[in-house]
Amino acid sequence: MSRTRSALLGLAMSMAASAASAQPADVIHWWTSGGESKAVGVFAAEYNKRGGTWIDNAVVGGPAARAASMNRIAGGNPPVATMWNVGVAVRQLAEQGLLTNLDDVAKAGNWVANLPPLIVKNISYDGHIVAVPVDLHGGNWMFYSKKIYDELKLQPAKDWDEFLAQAEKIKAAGYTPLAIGGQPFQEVWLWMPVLLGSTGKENFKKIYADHDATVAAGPGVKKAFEVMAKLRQYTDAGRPNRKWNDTLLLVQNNKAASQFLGDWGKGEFAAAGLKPMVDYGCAIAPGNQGAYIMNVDVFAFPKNSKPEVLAAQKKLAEVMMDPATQAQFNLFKGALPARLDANISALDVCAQAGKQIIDGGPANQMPNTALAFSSDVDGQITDLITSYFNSTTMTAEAATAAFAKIIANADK
Amino acid sequence: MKAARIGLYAFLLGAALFFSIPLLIVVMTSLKPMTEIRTGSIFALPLAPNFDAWVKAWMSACTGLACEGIRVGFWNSFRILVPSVALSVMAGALNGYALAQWKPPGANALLTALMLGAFIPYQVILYPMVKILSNIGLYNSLPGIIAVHIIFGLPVMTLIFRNFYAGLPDELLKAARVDGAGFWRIFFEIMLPLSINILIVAVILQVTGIWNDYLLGLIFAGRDNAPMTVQLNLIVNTSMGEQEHNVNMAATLLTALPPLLVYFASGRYFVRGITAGAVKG
Amino acid sequence: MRISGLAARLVLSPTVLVTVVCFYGCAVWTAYISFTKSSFIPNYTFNGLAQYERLFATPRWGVAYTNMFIFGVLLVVGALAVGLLLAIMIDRNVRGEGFFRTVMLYPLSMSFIVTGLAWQWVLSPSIGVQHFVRDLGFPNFTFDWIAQQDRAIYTLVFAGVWHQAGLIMAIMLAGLRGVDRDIWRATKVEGIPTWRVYLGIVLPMLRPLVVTCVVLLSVAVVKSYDLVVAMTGGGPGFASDLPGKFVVDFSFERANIGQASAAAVVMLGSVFAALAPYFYVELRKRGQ
Repeated sequence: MSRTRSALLGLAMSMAASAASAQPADVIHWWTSGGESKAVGVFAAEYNKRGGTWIDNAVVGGPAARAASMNRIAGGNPPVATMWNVGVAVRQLAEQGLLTNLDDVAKAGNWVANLPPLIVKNISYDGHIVAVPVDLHGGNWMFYSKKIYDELKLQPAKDWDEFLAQAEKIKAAGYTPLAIGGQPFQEVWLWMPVLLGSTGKENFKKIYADHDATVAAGPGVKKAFEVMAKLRQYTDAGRPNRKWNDTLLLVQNNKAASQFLGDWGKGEFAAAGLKPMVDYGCAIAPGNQGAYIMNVDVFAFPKNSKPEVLAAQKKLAEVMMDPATQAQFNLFKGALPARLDANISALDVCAQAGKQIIDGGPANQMPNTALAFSSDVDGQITDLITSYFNSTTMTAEAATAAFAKIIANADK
Repeated sequence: MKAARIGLYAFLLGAALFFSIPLLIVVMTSLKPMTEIRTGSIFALPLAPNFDAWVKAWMSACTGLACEGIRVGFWNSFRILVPSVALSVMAGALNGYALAQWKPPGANALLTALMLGAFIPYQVILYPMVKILSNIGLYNSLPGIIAVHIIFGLPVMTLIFRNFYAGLPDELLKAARVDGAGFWRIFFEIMLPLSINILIVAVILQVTGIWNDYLLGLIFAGRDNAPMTVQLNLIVNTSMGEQEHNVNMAATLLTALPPLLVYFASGRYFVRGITAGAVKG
Repeated sequence: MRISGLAARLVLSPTVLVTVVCFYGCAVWTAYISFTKSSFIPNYTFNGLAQYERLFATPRWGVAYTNMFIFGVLLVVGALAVGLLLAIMIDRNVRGEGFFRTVMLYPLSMSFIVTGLAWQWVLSPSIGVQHFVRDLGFPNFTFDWIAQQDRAIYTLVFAGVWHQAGLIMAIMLAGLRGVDRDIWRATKVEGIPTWRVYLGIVLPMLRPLVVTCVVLLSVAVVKSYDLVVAMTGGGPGFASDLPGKFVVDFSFERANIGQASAAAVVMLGSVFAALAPYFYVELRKRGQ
């Protein structure tokens, strides 16, 4: 009885507080799939609980959302916060002096000591913190149908040759071995683990972190392209322009055996009420053992002259970097918290396995394309991969040469 | 002779089927429950048609965090549509009348310039337009998006009315001026009453164009005024696990309904208006 | 009378202003940006022709640029041919004319987004026509153009013709109704076959209408961004990319406004070069 009353009292008080200082914060993001929406709801609820008013501004698709943000910044009516993929792009925004400096919030929350160094580097510009990393996705996961793998008595492959051999068996059994949607970025998600598995951790880092064109022209890269060409034969006909979450349904419904994508895929499984290693399987991609391709979502806060907006931005940054909130957020998002000190005991077995790799230190922490290249170079790589993957005439040699040329021309 | 007639009707019926297939699929799917969609063909008739998906699309489908259905966008679209159509059609009529009947110096140059303007893709103009509108304080506002629709409607609207008025005999204007009527009186008392058919064509074109617009609404309207098409895209892409094709299709239909009704109700006038106006080229 | 002439000019002045500032001002701005190094945000330092050199060395641009002509020519010719054919058929005194006209016109009321989605479903090999025919008992039936790199662009043409043919039909029907009845009577007396009357006499009379149709269709080609995005996403790979999508991708996703502007300028230049002289002559002729 008394508990109910105190709960009601608390509710009334928090409502009164929000009425008194309802700092409205409109937040642009492109999280519109099932798991993503639930995850973003965690931030909204926590921000509202602390007296703010979250105004959800979901825009479908990263490019459209970024365009909306850029247009509003250019139009002098910036959103309070906007989501971005971490990497060179965010630093470019900061370079133009468009982002709010978050140094004091970061210091108070002890951010730097609790984030992987590669992420710290990518959320700072000129020694100042300019963005909030909210998650740490692994980009090299393979999600597979437990039913099909059990039925055919298969274990997740240890390298790509083994994967191809298994694919032949799966195809013979009447299933689609590899689910993939025909959108360029999905093909790039497949490309990265294929490259990493074919060329090894060292070389992957040389290409992606050091932009080493000699390694990019080497045999490992050519092998990766050959694997890509073979993988194409194991996809299904419904590929064109299919969204990644629709594609994942093929694995969910045991029509396709596997799909390669980041651990955001788990969010979709969770939204459907499925449990990892019970209803579906997760494994690090073939040949990717001991490596975690990091993909980080951040929120940036466009500069605003109004003091109340600045206050809202700082409160929002606090909420998003709160270890408990981040842990809760990532429960739905499927990722690890970017904060290494967040308690992840509630996260699933896949996340626990990922955390072990991350804790192995910087040698295991691989950059994804966005962390490694400007969005322009990122785009050139995407164009190459997608045209190669869909072409029946382009040779692996030609693709390797084109790849090396892009790496050679990328800024250091 | 008889065989030729049969062939003619067979051809026309075939063509009608071809034209209606996409709409039929969308309608049929929106009336099916998910279980039927999962197992059946998209060309199969619904076994037990019902409007559950329609209700959900209108009342409770989720766009991001909010689950209020597509009705929110309906009123926004409506508020954008009415002034945009009225003003852009009026502007086109006045322009066409001034160009064709009064033939001010440079009329042909302006017309050519406007027509070429119709070929500039939106994408080229977006960024500078945002700058211009924000400088005059109209960015992300209802007047802002209305202004954008009027501007992008100018070339085609002007062209349609100009062609229509150019086809009227010059004596009309001459006689009216001898009687002492001025620019505005001639327009309102003589020209407008003659223009009913072409006005209908213009209104139909603008209603469908503006109602169906996505890109401009997304960028210029701001989230408080986001039109129905923007909401539709959010609903179709906000999927909780499995895509609810029936709800998506119902939402698509609800969004497409107003212009569709306009066409079904006034298709006759549309053809008549084109006969009246466009015949002269 | 003088005052009235002034009124005409006053009425036109906002249009002049909008044309100069919004259409041409923005186009000039874009042209200038194409000569700079602008990446994320406009940068006004002059940088020569570097953006154009890079553009023409980009394979994806080559595909998109070629596609513009394939898509443009086929859509214009296809919609004209289908529209005209339908108009002639409907003009043969058929019953239920109103029904046929309405059914053929309604696609015009659908947005390109809806058109693209609907045709994507119909053409998708896994749920659409191919799946349907295979279920009917033809397991080897294949119709997967949307998944073929060298065919996907034609599926866009297909959907575009579906969308636009009704409008052309309406315009052409209007034209046919305007043809003098005496011509038909006279040719019947002479015993000239119907198809020759259409080809030799009626069609040439419809020439001005064809111009109107070409204008309307060309505008549709330039603005067909939504259709590509909804239907193929430019894929497979970038096989069905069009310049409009290339420009949007590079302005926003790739954060390379300079490159996007160079592409936009080439696109605009090509369209203008093809159309401007033609329109000027046509308008002059008709203005007199």
